[in-house]
Amino acid sequence: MSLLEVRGYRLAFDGYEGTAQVLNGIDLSVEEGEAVGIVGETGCGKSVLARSLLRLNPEPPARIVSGSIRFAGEDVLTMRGAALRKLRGTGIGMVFQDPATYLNPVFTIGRQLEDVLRAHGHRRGIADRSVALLESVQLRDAGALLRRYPHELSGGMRQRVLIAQALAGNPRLLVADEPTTALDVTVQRQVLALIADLVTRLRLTLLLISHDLGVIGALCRRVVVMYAGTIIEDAPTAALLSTPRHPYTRGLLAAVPDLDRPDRLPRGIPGSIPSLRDPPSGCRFHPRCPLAMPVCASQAPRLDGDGGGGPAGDRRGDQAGCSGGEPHRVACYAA
Amino acid sequence: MTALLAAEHVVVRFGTHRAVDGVDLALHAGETLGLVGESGSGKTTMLRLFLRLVDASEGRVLFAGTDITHGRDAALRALRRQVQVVFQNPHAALDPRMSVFAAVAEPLRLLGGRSRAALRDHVAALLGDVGLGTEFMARYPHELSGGQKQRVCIARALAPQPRALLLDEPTSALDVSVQAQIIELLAALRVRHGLAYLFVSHNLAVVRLLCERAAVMQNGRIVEQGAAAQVLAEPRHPYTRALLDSVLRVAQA
Repeated sequence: MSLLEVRGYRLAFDGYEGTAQVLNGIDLSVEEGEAVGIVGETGCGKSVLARSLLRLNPEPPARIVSGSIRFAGEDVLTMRGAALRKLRGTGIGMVFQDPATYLNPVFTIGRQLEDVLRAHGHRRGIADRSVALLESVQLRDAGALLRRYPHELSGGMRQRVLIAQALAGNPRLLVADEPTTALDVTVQRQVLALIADLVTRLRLTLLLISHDLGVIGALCRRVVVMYAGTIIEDAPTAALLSTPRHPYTRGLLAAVPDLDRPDRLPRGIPGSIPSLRDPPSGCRFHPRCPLAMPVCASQAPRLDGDGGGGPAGDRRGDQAGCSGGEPHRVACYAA
Repeated sequence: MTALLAAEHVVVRFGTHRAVDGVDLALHAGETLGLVGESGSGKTTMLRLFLRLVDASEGRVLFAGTDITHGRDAALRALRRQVQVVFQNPHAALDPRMSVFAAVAEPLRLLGGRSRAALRDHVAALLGDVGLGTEFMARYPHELSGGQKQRVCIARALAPQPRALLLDEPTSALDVSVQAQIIELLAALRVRHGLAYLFVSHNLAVVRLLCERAAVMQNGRIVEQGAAAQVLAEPRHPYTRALLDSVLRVAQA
């Protein structure tokens, strides 16, 4: 049994201007101990998907249309009250993008860690536990830090405090949503090294959401690419980078400027992301796709490719960079 | 050759903090200069200094050889016209109540002397220059994508026919596929109009693509400057080396 199993999950947001089909049939399994990255551009639904795992999207406006999410065998979509509180923090810990907005400016770090520990049922030894948590994220002088306020900390330190909070309930799965996007590159390196260390030391399963394939490549062996609310490719990271199969993934890679190849001008992907209130029929990428065929507009290809009947679908370990026969799945008729 | 913009031994103090701490930097006509460094290194303050949006506490700022360190109004008119700026966040840089036409026409109106029809033609030409059709004129910022908004900001900056664009992280708020389009656009505009760019960015790869020269800032000082190909490939200063080592490469076949 997978630790996390998302099947045919569709989520819509109802608004005055209509209904946006934000997640459109997500299938994703994450095994215990895996580190999986989700990459995609603004509005592709990666953060909404991450929040869905903890049921953090307010319902309404969010509305679950269909599908299931199971964590450790339990149905997340029917959870309420105490079960949901237990899932949040002890089942799944979450780290968000902007460390400045997720800490309350008027309370000390110690008070905010205490709140989290109390919410997880701790009553005694809270100060000791707080110090141990801050030390586990490699913050020095943890005792003094407990009396500090968020504004007295650097961005990197704040993100470490948030990681400590996410770990306070000993979760099995850590979901990190753009954890280093607000940080400078040198600090980003340190925070990524910390996450890698914690994942190994605490045997965590990791789901890392980022728009940056470099960040995902540093931590994840497997990566899932999202476009306009659908997963369009799911592959070992090395295989995705060396032999991307979906035309969108190829476009995404061609758009990244490469410091070591200044002669290669990055190419943009023509057009822009579609409206999710009125998404294109069939494959949501087909209006921008250089390889689009008539069938692409009428029927959405499935991630396992069985809608296409051709060579698309599971290819196990038959290409360079794909190790150990792990599946490389793509939702495209032309790939 | 007289530099278009030059800072000489400039110090900018905010309270007791020295945001810029004794910087010499020059931007020559037609050249592209990248200014890189981490948050708080002083690179945006340098850009604002050249725009005279902040004042130098010590040192001199020169525009085409003229001292503008303490210049006011009339003394700055040439600077305001010939040096334009594009900011990081296109969502915040446009007035939500102004149509694209109004936003791009505003600087032209301030320069004066155009009939209504000529103004319209001029705005259409500017929008065409940044790859936007005339159908965009009637639209408002909330109807545009991030990339389209940044194109409008660039069109607006080009309106007074400047000699230099000061670009403050112009692609940092954009997705990579859109960032690539804006990089292509900036590279093309520079050739078409013979512009000089001061390109402030924390993204070393983008600077390497667009800039001939690069300067690296740390704690308000320039620790290294030279040809971009040298500074960003064979750095001499340990800080530049640390910055380069921190960049995560997307390994591609």
